[in-house]
Amino acid sequence: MLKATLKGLLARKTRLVLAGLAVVLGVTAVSAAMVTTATIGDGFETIFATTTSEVDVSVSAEPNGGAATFAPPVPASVVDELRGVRGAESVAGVVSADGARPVGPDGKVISVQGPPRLGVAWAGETGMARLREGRGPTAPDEVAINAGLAELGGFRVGGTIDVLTLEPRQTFRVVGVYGYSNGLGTLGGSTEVAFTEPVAQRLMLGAPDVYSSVTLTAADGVSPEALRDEVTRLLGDGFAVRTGDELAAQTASDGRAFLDIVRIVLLAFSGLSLLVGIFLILNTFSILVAQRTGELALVAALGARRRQIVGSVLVEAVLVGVLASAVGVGLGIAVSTGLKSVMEAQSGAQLPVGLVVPMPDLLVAFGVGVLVTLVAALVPAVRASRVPPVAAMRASAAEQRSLTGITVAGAVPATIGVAGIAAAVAGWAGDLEFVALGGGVALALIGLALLTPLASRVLLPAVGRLLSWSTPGKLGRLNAARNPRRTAITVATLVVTLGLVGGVGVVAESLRVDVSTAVATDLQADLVISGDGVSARAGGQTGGPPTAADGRVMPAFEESVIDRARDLDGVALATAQYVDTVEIDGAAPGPSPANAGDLSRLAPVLGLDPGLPDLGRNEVVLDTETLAEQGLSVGGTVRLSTPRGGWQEYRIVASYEPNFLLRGPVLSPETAKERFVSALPALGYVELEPGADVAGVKAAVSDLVADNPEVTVADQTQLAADSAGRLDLAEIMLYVLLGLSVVIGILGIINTMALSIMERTRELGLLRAIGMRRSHMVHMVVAESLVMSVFGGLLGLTFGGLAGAAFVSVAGLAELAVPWLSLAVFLGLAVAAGLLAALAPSARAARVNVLAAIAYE
Amino acid sequence: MTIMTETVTGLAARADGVTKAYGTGAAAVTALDDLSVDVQRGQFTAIMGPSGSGKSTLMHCLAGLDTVDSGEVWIGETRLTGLGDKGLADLRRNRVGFVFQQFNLLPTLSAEENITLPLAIANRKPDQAWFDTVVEAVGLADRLTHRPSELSGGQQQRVACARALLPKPDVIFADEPTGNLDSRSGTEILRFLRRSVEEFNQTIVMVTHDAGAAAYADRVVFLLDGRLVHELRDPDAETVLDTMKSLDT
Repeated sequence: MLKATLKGLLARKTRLVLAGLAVVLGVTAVSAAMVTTATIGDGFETIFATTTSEVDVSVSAEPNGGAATFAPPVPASVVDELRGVRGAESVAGVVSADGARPVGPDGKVISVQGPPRLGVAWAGETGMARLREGRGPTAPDEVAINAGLAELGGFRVGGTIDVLTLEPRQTFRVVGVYGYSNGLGTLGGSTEVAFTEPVAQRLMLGAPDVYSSVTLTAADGVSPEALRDEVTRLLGDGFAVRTGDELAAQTASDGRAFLDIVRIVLLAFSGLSLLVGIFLILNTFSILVAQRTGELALVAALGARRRQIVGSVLVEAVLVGVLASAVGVGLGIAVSTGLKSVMEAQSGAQLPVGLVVPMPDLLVAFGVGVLVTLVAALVPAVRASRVPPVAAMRASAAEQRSLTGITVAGAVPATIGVAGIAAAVAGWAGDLEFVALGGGVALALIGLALLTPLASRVLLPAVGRLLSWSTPGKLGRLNAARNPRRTAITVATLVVTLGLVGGVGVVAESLRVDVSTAVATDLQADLVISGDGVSARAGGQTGGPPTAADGRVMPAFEESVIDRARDLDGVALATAQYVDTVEIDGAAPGPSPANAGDLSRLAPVLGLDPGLPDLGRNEVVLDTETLAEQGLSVGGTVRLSTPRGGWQEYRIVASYEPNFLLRGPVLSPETAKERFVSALPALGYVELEPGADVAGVKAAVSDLVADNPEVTVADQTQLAADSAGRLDLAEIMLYVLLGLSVVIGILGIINTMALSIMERTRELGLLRAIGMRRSHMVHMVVAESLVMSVFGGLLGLTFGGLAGAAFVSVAGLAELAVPWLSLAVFLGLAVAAGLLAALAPSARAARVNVLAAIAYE
Repeated sequence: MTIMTETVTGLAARADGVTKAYGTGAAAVTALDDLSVDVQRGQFTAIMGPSGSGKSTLMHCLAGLDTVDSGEVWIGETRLTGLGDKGLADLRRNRVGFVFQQFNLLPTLSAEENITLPLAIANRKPDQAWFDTVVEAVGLADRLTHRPSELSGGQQQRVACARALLPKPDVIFADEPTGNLDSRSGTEILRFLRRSVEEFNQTIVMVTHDAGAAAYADRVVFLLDGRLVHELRDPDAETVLDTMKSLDT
């Protein structure tokens, strides 16, 4: 039987290649995701391990047990205290913090997506730093920079460099360029600016005589662990004391956490493409089995048992799965190699490791590929075994099976699913509304898949009529409706993919409208001075591309800008807002956005209740949500930890309703200047006098911040668009990732079309004989493909749109916004997919040889 | 000369010194060997011959389904040799009708849609009176909405005949039209073809190996090794059989 299977396999290689391609694509994506993330992770680990290789013990402040958002600086007194510690050979205060943003030759801040832009205190050629050129900084206006930065910005020794830090833009002389002891010019792509120690302390930590951490090396014969315990004993609570290895592991695991998210997202989408690949494989094997009905019946008539027939189909599936998965894993590794060099070229950072191939992970990818093929082939295999021996005597292979069973099987989950969604929307589900919604959508999708054959009976003629204005078109439409089950499986991939796309589209558009509306309603200012992403952070929102605001330091500007703006003609009011993240101590301790400003001026601008008091030094105003969450009340006190101030107790003097622009504790400007990470305001608001010239004032205010490349002046519409635009990248990423599934969808249609055309060779010959031109044949096949793809697209988009609408309703967004244009584009994509899929099959149909087709001897 | 002109205008189809070979070199098989034949307008012509005699090839070449290596083929006054694919397709649609042995209908279309398909492809509306006449003649008036799968073999073949007849083609080519039918259904088809010739003055060329079927024709031409070897006028089954036997030996 195995020999017969192998021969059969070879005889149908084209078909199986198409089926295998789905597995190849899926497995490629899965293994590329695994290899790439493993490689990056290993690279990070190596980098961190080398960074801390000469550190035996590291000390940093620890504000809140362990899981701190940030570590406040360590006072210089700690360094002195540690000098006397037993077993230490050397003790050194280190200044190294993210947030030294160099300005490039084009006047814009040099952007490295991801790696930190470090500002450090030059400590000589200790540790890893090795000068390549020049010397270390000795005067306050001198810096040395790492070779990576020198290359990115074209800086050289003897030239100047502008750097934005906690303080506004300042110009320095470059006196040295350094690399690292491992020979690289940058560690993982990060840029580094080395100042003299006092300058670094002021610019990077915001205070004199503080360090970001203290490092110790152990004397001979003292283990790092022993030294760590000694230091812990000496310093007591409030400090994190770690050995170099522990520090490296900690830093690496922080990086890993982010990498794990990336990995999960990538794997989810690769997994999805494998999942939709199941439909394609299922369809191929079903058709192969249907085509072979006669052959199978003959085998059955000759006495083969059911198990043998199931076995023969499954062996075929395993062979296809093994081959395709092996190719997929190989391609995955190849793709990763390409990705690695692309990433290295883009970031200018060499990963200090070769390609890491995680064999266990790849074995899983391989196994999943085989399993998916096997599962998909199971149903057709069982069906093959049910072919009665008498079928060998019958000519017709494609018999129509009743849709009743499958319709009933689909109606049940569909009904329950719709009920779940309805319950969630109507609010009967209480706290479980999102569970009801998610479960409902999943069940409804399963139901939809099973009901698609029936839907195709009803909807295909309707869809078809739009596309078939001529006889060949009509024939194509009828062909598409010929085998509802096959059509259903063929379009399933498109339904799932476009369902996701449609759902995401509706939700994203509604969110955008929601955000724009919120900004427009809450924001009373006519002009806003801000850097990228700052307003979002002030309101505690997340999402969008990584910006400076996601790091420790965000774009800021000088306070004097506000004073000067106030003096401009046409300006009625100008006020500043300081933005930071603090730790809050309460029923739910953790990080929270924090803001500061003159509340009497800020409240009306941000649409808050008027009458909020101006704050004193240790006073705070909290939003009602945070109060409830933390179990606090007005009149009581709250403990907050600020980056430069550490833990302090504040009196809660009032509360406000949080909105899109403001959330979390609000402190006085004086407190912010003293304790926030940056003493500078991050946001400025300008209200105009009635009748003032908006464009004129905007230009004048822009002039005030002209030397600050990170800060721009926006009017309201711009700000609303910017806020809403933060969703765009995530949305586009999602669409790109779904692209793979679309490709598999196209493959599926090609597959079905090609098989159908093979099955109908005689029919095509007849059509040619009675006078169809080649162009008619092409038209007919294209119509069939289009009808299927548009049907699938409409079904998917409609389902996704409705699911998205349900989500919008449950999530309580202000209004349901349907992105008609995007949906039309996606439907256009389905049309394009249909056209693409019809290319080869239609050419084949046009080439059908009439004589060969009608010959039957 | 006068006679020549008369014959040309009186011909529905004509093959003139047609040669057709398959394969090349030593494996070449000559299917038609310098063969000439005329098909008279309004006549029922049967082509007979043993397997491999070239009768199907002749029909395919006459019908524009296949091309000839040398010689000329005419349908009415149109020379097929040199017509492109588009021209041939249009010719088949408008001026030639086909009835095949099997697989004659599109399973997705009703009987009526199958009948009108060639006209539909050409975006033409059938003449209702003529349609009714044809449907009446094949006896399918009450079967028009049925799909082929709901019709018997004989009924399906009658649908095919109606389809071939509806566009009033110059010639209907029938390739073993009764080969797949029981004798009663076969007789019905042959009677219908005969009636089309007599009542509607339709020209029909039929390939068959059944002497009984050939007896319905006005004229039988016999092929052997790609050449026309014999011809009978107003044949009866017995004469046809005898001729066939003499050719076999």
